[in-house]
Amino acid sequence: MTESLIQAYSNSPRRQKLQIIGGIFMAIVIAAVMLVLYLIISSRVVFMGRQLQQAKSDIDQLVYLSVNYQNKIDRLSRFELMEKRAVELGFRPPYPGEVFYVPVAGLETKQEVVVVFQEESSSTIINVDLPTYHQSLIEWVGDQIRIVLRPFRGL
Amino acid sequence: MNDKITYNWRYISIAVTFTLFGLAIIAQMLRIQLTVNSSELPVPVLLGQWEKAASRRGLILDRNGHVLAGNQTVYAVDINFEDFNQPGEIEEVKTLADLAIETFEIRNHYLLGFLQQEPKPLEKNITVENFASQADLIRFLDLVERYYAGLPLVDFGEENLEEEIEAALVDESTDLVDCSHLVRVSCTPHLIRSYPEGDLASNIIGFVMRDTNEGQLGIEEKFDSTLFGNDRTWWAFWDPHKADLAPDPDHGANIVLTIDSVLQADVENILDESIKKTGAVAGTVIVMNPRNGEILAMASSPRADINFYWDEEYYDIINNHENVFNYAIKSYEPGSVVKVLTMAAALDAGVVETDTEFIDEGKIEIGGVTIKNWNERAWGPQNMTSCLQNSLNVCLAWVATQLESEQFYNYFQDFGLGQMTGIELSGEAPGLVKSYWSPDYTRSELGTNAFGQGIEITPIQMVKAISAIANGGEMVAPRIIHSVVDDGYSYTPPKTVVGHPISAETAETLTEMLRQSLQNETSLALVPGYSLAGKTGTAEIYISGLGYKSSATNTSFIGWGPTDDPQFLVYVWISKPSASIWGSEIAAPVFRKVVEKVVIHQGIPPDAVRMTLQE
Repeated sequence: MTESLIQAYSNSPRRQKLQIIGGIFMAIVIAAVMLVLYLIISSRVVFMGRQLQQAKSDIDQLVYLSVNYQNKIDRLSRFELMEKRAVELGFRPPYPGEVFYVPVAGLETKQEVVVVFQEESSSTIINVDLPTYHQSLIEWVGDQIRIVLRPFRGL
Repeated sequence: MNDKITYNWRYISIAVTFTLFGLAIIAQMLRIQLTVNSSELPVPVLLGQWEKAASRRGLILDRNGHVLAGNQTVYAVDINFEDFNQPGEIEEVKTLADLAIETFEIRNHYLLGFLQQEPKPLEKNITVENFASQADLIRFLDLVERYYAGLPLVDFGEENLEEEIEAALVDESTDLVDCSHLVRVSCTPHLIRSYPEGDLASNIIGFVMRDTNEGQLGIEEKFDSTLFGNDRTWWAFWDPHKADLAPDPDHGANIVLTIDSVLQADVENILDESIKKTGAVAGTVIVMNPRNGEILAMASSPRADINFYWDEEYYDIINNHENVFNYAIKSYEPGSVVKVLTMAAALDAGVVETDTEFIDEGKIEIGGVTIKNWNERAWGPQNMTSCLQNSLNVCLAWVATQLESEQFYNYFQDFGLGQMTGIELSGEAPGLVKSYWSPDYTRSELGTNAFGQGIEITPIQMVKAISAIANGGEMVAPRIIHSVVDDGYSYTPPKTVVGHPISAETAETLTEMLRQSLQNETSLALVPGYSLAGKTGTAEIYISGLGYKSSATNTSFIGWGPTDDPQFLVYVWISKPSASIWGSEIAAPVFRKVVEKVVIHQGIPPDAVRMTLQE
């Protein structure tokens, strides 16, 4: 009796309509959540993409700036300028007879100047050649579905 | 019943509307598929552009890390010739073109003609200057902005502008210039070669052609592929989803030379002064460490400011008929400096000794040719030291006959005469030393070759050969590359011993003979306090159609020291001096001045002090 009452209640037309409407709302909510998620992730991907594009521009700018700074240093320290400045300060090159050599115990002789070398490259290599860097969320979901369905292919 | 009919009509209308709309879409799809060329359609997933990672050419540095060849940011300046029809727009483009002509001093006839005519709309930008310096670009933009602001273009003070530019350069010269606020003008930075020291060591360095970015002459050409910074290009997608990291720029490797730029500058000054004073046309001075073959200085004159290699002033220097930019690697008849090698061969072969007596009668006949001394007189009894001291052609020709052709030329071959030394410079001449078995060889050449006439060798070959004598019989390959540095790693070529043409005893004996001969003749090459060995050379120059002329000579000097612990080897060649024709008067003083600089730069104390320090 109780079972038949419950069955009658759940199968009532009104109840059935409510279930359908509820199901539709649920689907809409889920779709909306998915859409929002997609938009959030997609916008983040776009944002990161823009940052990457900007980074390239920044790297080029830094190379040009670095070259400009180096060039400025080179030109300011060129031999002609240094010599001119030294002469202005009252210096002149020495002659052999004017040089005094004083033996100093333990003093090392003139060492060859070695341009500073790095032992290892300081550049960091980041592998960005991964699918996750290039595919959208939908493409990723599609991939995952294909992976799940792969064992059933051919059945 | 009527209501139902009405509703049906409405449903049918909506269905027809949607059907027509759907059919229109299908028709459009078919039209696109059948009529439009697919190659003209954009492919959304491929939309993007080619971009490149800016990379710089490797630096060239001296042994102390001083930059001799660097890079500089310049700009390609474009004027937009698209979409203008109105008189105001035509005037705008014309004004921009005129300002560009004035500021960048455009000389290209084709471009100048195009910019000076009435502007016509084109589908592209026109590059008005590909290598605009920062200062020129600032000046151009200043004029352009004045034009747009309606300010007069001619009433501003030139001096004030120069001051403004100078101030801008001092304050912000390192900042990049941005033209993005201008619609019709764009400027794109890129890198070109820059030589901060101007003409210093220009003959060693060479230069880079601006248009092709290829190294020409010297280190730039020899190591073009090593120095070359490869602009890595890739397809940059506009779609941010597909944006990728730009590849790292592939900067060229840096090259560290063995040159000391301060010593190089001093030696160049000495050489220039001497050439000016003696009325010579060219010359070179090489300073090498005979222990390891490192070239400390290699001056050559005339030189060019390689920042402006295209300048008319330098055209003949760089593109002369003999294609010589660096006289250190050019072949010539060296004259009496070769007597050192003839004597070395004879002593080593044991055909003469230091006290072997030779009666100089003023002439000797070899192969039907009479050879005379430089002053055409007989010098009487001589030993081998005095033969060298007095630079007697007759004596050395006789010495060569004691060796005979095969042995004589085998020694010359062992010394590397007539062969390229392999120094890391582009354009090294091999020289010319005939083989004794060649069909056109005559025995008389044995006599003339013995004192450096009739053969062509390069100064760098002489330096290499003499290193065997200075260095106890061990001949080292001259080298000008100290190391190559790339991406944090460096390679330093090792010292290369290229043979032992003579024994250590011969080298020691000959060094002592040359030390004594230099002392005895109170040479202008002597430096007080330092024991030096050396030899002058004077060679007549062969002029086509006229033969050898005493009035035009190549004067040379080769010397090294300290004789008991050689640390420098100096070669001097001054070509065609007018003040005197003798090596002893022209080249020897240059040697002395150079040695005076070398001993200070290298911290080599006088012999007496050095002995005390060693004790």
